[in-house]
Amino acid sequence: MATTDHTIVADLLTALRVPFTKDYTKQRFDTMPFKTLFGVTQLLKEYGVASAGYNLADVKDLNRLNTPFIAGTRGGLVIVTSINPNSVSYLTQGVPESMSINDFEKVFTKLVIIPSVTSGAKEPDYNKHLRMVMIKDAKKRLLWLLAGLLITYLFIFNGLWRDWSVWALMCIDFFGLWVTYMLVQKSLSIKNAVADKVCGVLQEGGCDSILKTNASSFFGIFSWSEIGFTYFGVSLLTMLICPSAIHWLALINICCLPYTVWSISYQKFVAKHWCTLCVCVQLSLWLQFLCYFFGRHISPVLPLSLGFFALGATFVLVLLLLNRVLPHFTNTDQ
Amino acid sequence: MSLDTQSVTIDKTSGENEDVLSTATKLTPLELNNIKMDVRHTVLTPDYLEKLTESGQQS
Repeated sequence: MATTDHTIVADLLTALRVPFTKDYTKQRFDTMPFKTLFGVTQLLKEYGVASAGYNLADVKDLNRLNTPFIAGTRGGLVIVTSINPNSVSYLTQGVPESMSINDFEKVFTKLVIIPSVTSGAKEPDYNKHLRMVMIKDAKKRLLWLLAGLLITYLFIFNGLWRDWSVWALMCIDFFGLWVTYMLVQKSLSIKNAVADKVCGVLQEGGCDSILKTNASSFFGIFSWSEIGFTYFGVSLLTMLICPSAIHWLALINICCLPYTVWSISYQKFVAKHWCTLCVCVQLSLWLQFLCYFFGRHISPVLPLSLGFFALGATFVLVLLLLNRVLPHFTNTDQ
Repeated sequence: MSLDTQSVTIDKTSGENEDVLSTATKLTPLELNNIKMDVRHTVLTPDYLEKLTESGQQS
């Protein structure tokens, strides 16, 4: 059962072509005093959309209504966007779907909300909110652009581009960061359609099953997804800023390999569920080991110097910071 | 502004609507307030709705 961040109000406003911004509308929807259809009709009034609820006399009356409108089904509310002799098209959480008329009539509860758009209907303070959305988008693009430029500069300036194994290690770090980011989102109940799709590769719902077990955290103190995100993030930054520490990174990678054996064994023999994202992380760790090995970065490192402990302290510091900050992002809607 | 739009024809004529709604029961604000919203934002795919129908028929 998929879920998203969309709201029925946003879907209806989209279908009615009433100008609105997603963030403001979601925020208004989430903070409605009445989380009921009455609350929805009151919220729609703010946008210049009057509405009224009806129970139809007959299920078949559905075909004679003008679209779009909100229809009640056994699973909840949808926005009916078009009805033709053979099918009903509707929006559900922003996702367009279609069913045969007969099948839709079986799930339809005869409840409808009929909207009526007044002239000039739009979100209150729409222009101001739109400006904020554009500024937020611009900030995000600038952030990624500067991060990309800085990484490219360090990659070239520190001569990292000369070594094939560093190219591979950095690609794996980026991949690992992406995968562990999705795992962190899942552990915080934050919806991500891409993560859901990837999780379905090995086993549907496998990621969620594993993340609910005690084994998804290190003695309940840190989640493995946080640890993984920290590992790949610090590994990437260390390689960029301090390339001479690469043999210490190799040592840390070797120390992580027993964890991969435990993780795969646990999924196969204990949980009997496969977490695709977790398997991707294990694979990334082994690929990194091969890059360190064939790139000749594994060398005798004893006795360990202060620099190694400084690197270790960096890992722990980032992990502690992440552990402190992440609970503020937990999605409490579930 | 959301750009995700499904192509929709907004029918401005209300004549047929009035015919249908004249036989329907208009819900009062209290009745509307009794219908709770889905805070989990479930995507109601045709398969999901059909499963609900089957489980409803079985029970």
